[in-house]
Amino acid sequence: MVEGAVISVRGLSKSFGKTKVLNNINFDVYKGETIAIIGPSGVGKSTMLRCLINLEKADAGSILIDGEYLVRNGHYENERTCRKICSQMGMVFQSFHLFPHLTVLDNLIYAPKYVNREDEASAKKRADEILRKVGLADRKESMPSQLSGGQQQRIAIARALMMNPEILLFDEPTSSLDPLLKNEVLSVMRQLAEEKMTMLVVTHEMGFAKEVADRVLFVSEDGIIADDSPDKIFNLPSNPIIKEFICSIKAV
Amino acid sequence: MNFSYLVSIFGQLSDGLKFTVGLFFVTIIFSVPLGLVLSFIRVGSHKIIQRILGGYIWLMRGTPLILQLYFFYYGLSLVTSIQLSRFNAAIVAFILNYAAYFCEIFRGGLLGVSKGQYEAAKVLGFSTLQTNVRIVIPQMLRITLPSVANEFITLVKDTSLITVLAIDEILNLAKKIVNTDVNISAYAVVAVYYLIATFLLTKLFEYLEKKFAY
Ligand SMILES: Nc1ncnc2c1ncn2[C@@H]1O[C@H](COP(=O)(O)OP(=O)(O)OP(=O)(O)O)[C@@H](O)[C@H]1O
Ligand SMILES: [Mg+2]
Repeated sequence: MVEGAVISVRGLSKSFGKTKVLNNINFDVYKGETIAIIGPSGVGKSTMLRCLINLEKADAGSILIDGEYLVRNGHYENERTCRKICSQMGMVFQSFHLFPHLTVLDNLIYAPKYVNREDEASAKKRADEILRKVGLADRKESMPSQLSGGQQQRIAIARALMMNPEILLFDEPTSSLDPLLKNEVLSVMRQLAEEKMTMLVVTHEMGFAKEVADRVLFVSEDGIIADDSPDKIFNLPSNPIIKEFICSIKAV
Repeated sequence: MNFSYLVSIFGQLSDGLKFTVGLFFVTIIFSVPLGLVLSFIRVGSHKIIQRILGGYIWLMRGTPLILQLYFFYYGLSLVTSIQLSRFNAAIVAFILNYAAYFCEIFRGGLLGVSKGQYEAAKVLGFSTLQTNVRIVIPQMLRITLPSVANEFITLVKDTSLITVLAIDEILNLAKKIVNTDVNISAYAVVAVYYLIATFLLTKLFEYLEKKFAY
């Protein structure tokens, strides 16, 4: 495994029944990097991300998170260890998945309070700071249903940040948002990138990938077919599949 | 028929309330938690337990509650050595019957909590128990509140079925008064009792639905 990588993936493979979704995936992520993961629909980008945080089980291969094996040659650690390893990561979903029965504040403090046993006062204090950071300090008593999609997604990011993750995974965080609302979410993510949060972002926002990502992974049916700087991927695409994909996105 | 006659019946019927109200509360206190536990088993994946549970629910929902009352009072002693008292037989039948219904209601509610909720809880580090207690059950209860309200109101009226075991709950007392006095106004008074109870429950659930709206 590569020295200094916070995530190392080797030979990751995953099938759903007979359909092989991931086949021998390899990549590394270094501390503080923002990685954009792009590619056509249905090639397994979400599955790849979900394997990293143990929402899907890999069939084969290894995943090393911050020096610890989540899975080694297809063999998983016990549930407790997996949980501990994954606690260094947070995840933001396409459809937010806020807890609808809790206020914004409770959405933020529940996990620190019940998972980490942090005392409520200190969790509330941190929640205030993080809400300010995502620009929603005035909405802590709101219910999720009273918020716009963009606001809900910013709360989802805030909820993940409350657990002080080393790494944040985003699965198409702006895909279910109106164009106008995308920007408020992207600007929070941009700010996190500037603060050197390690982030893996599956996205169709080529502007974000181009401007914010340190590296772009291009996933096709054959796996990761490019792992390069945004400049190289977007301006000098080496592969006809990538060329075609980028042209089709531009055309939209 | 005069007003003081009605008031006196109202008073006489209140002797039966201990059975009616007692049966109601004992049934709720036991069948709701039992139904909750069973609903989690029912959405689980254990094949044999699933079968057994499926059979139990089929029996309870597939036969009249009156028949179940007969079984636990008259039948049980024929197949086992247990002879329950009238009221205990009623309690057992009601709890088992209502637990089956609550199980099915809660099962529906559990299926209404999206997969995303479980995933969000998991990536935040919640244990399975914490996820169920803090995230899933509150949402499930909110989803099922209208059906649960319905079940509570049905239960109020179903308590009158124990009259077939000759227990002196309010309907049975009313029947006796009607026979003695040759005057059916006792039935009207008994209706008032049920209407008051269902009115209170309706208001309670309206309040709960508002309080837990999200
Ligand atoms: N739980 C599952 N059961 C069965 N098949 C699945 C499951 N999850 C994903 N798949 C299949 O795996 C393939 C890859 O899915 P995945 O969601 O990872 O693709 P994706 O690259 O994220 O696509 P998109 O851009 O549309 O989100 C798809 O063909 C999908 O139908
Ligand atoms: Mg996807």
